[in-house]
Amino acid sequence: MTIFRHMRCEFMLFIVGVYLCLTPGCEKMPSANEGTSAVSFVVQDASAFMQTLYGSKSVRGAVVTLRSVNYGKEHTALTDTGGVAKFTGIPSDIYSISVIRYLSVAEVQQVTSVGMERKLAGAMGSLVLRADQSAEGIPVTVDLVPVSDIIISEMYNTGPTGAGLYFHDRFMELYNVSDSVQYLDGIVVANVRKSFITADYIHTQQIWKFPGSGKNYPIRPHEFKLLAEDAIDHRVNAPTSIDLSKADFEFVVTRSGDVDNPDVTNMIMIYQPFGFDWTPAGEGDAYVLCRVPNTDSLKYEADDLLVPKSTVFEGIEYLKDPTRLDLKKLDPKIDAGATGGALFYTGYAFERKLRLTESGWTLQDNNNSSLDFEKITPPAPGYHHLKP
Amino acid sequence: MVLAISASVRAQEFVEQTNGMKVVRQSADAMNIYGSGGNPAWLFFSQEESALRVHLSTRSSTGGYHRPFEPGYENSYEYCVEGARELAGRHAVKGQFGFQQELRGDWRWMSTKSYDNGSPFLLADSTVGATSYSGIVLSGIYSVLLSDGFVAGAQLNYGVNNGLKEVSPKPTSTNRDLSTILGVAYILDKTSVIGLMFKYADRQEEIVYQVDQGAISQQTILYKFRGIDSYLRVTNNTETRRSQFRSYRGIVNIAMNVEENTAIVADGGGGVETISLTDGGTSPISQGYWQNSIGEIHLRAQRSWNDLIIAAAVEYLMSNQWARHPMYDVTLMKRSDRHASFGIGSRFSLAESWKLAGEYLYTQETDRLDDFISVLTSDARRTLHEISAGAEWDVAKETALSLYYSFGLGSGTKPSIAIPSPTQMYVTLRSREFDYFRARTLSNGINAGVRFNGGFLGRVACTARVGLLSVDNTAVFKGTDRRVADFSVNFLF
Repeated sequence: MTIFRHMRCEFMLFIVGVYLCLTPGCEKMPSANEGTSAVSFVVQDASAFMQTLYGSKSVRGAVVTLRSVNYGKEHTALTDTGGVAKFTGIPSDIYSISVIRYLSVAEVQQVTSVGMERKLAGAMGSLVLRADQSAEGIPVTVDLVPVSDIIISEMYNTGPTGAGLYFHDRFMELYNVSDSVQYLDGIVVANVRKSFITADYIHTQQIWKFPGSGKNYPIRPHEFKLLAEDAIDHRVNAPTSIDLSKADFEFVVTRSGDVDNPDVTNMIMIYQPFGFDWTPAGEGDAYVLCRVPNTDSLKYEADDLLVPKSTVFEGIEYLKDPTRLDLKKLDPKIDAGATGGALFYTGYAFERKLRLTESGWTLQDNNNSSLDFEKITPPAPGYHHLKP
Repeated sequence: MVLAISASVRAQEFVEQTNGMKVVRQSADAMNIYGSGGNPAWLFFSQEESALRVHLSTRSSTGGYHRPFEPGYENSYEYCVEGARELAGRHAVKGQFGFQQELRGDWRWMSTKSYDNGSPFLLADSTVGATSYSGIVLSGIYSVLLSDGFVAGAQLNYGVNNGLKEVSPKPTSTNRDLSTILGVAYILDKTSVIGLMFKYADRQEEIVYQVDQGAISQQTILYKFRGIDSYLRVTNNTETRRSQFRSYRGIVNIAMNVEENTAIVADGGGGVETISLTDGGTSPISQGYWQNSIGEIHLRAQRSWNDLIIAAAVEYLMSNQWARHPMYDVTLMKRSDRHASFGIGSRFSLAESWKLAGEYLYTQETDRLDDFISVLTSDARRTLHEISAGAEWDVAKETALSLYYSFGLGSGTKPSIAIPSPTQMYVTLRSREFDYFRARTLSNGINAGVRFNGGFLGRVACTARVGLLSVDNTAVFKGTDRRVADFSVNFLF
């Protein structure tokens, strides 16, 4: 009996020790399963269009697109007559939300008597959707967006591979998405140095504009125009680079002896206090296109020139880490997301995706760089890489 | 010596056989709680005669029949020295020092070494190539007779190895494995022994991606998996992943002699395994949490007469896993695996120097998966029938030859898959994984062995095994196979 008592005591201590050691290793399984939460959005129109057309601010037939920041996948749904779009099976993540409702010519004409296509657009730059929290009836407001017949179709700023620190082959490419001739005269190209969501102005230290007095520089329907930092054949200096000698426009900083191709029209520098060339950042930056009636009337704040946001009709933002939408500096009303994820000297460009419409191919424009752009290499200056 | 490994239950690539048999064991410790259950406390009563053993072995496998993240070919080498000694009539010690090398070739994407333990959180890059691992293993066992019939023991295993992928971006990995077993055993009476064990394992892995020369001409693309068909695509040139695996298990051992020539040994228990991961060097960010609850039962019975031994073995393993999202309190997947096997075998002496043996082993595995990211539920079953037969010839006093043949037939049901709504996540990798488990396979193997007295080399035992696993019917793997070759030599002193 003594042996059994001895054994029982030591065995009990051993079992208690096992239990105490096992307990800290366990966690409780979460009660919520991934992708089971119901997510829905209610889209309402801030303009008068839907009210006039259908007697309600609810936007029917709008395409609501959720883009998962980490997974890179897109989910789309159409709103019903109540303006509600429902999603199921959505993985928990941070999402960029974009809403687009194209107004047909007939609809616009019914409201404004002008026969043209317009669009209502809205966005939410960064929204966490998670399975353990319900997300139903999230309100999204859309508004009439300015007609942006000219859009930024590509930006290349990273520099070529295998050429050390060479980066002078940067460019911006524009595209006319409309079916009518547009004019680049006087359009402003400005870098976004910092921007506040509620502020009325873009702060910039690099602001240029197209020359011309009104109709000197046309851009035909579905035509590309190339704006080069240096309009030369860069392959001479860097074999993996590109030929920009046939660019349409060139950024020339005259005070610094910058490269100046005499066969290429120069952009007009309004304000750039620093640098020896037009210098968009390689890994993260933002640019806007504006129609400013009088650039001489723009005001300064410290070293920044202030450009009214009301004059902006197009924008793009790219980030070193495109999932970090919390680091955006461009108002989501102009660009709801951000493209990016390309490092210096990797030869990557950001090009707008193609979209197939009833009338053929065009470039995608959801006012959301997360959705609209993709990373390509090599760059495609003056053309789309899928349609050379 | 083996380090503590997870009880991850999967359909087997090729069932490993030692000395040709798995049910009728030849080891002197086969029917005690040390040889069968691994309880270190029973080392003191171990029946092994050798005090010193030098072991060399090599294993290679190659072929097109493999899971998506398995290497196309693998070669491994192990060299170790092991010694055992009894001290002062109450203590027993055993130690092992070894060196291991492993080469995984034609390996698609994967950087995580233990990619098949069930955790969905894996790190990979877009390149396919070979990765080599090399390192050392140390093991020590101590057993002490505390009082009449009461023994206690402990075992400590330690291993560290470094891995290097041979193609750019050439990630490196450092794996450190530490495990310990504490055991006690009590002789209830002359015919029964009961033991208890507690096992703890701690495994750390660090994978590092740095900028290398290949970054001049190619972009590093990392895949951070959260399940086989769900991954984050990241274009970082640098990354550091640290994963921490822990395992806790409690096991009860029983050994008894029911009658004079009938022995039964059994062990059973359960535990939990966890993995937590972070990415980022100086600012680590959680990449997920995985937990696995395991239970196991092993039972072996053996009855012997003068010239005949009949043995039976039953095994049941269960595993319930789940994984949690790195950022939100959300379950990403759940998985339940069951493995049950039953075997029966016999060995009898045909003449003074001849022995014949044969056995049959039946295995069934079920796998139920809920992958919530992919919105997918699957239920699959696989069965395996194996027959082995062979002969041993005692040529001379300390010289013996053995030759065994094994045949296996495996088949799996097409998993019933429920995808409630169209998903963007269900892609080819998952489909290939399903095809792997439901493929009908035929295996043929030859195992040959020789034992002799090598004089100053001690007693020498060599074993060679070759096996061929061929696939019968699935569209993906039809016509492919998997070939395995093992060779080992032991010098016992």
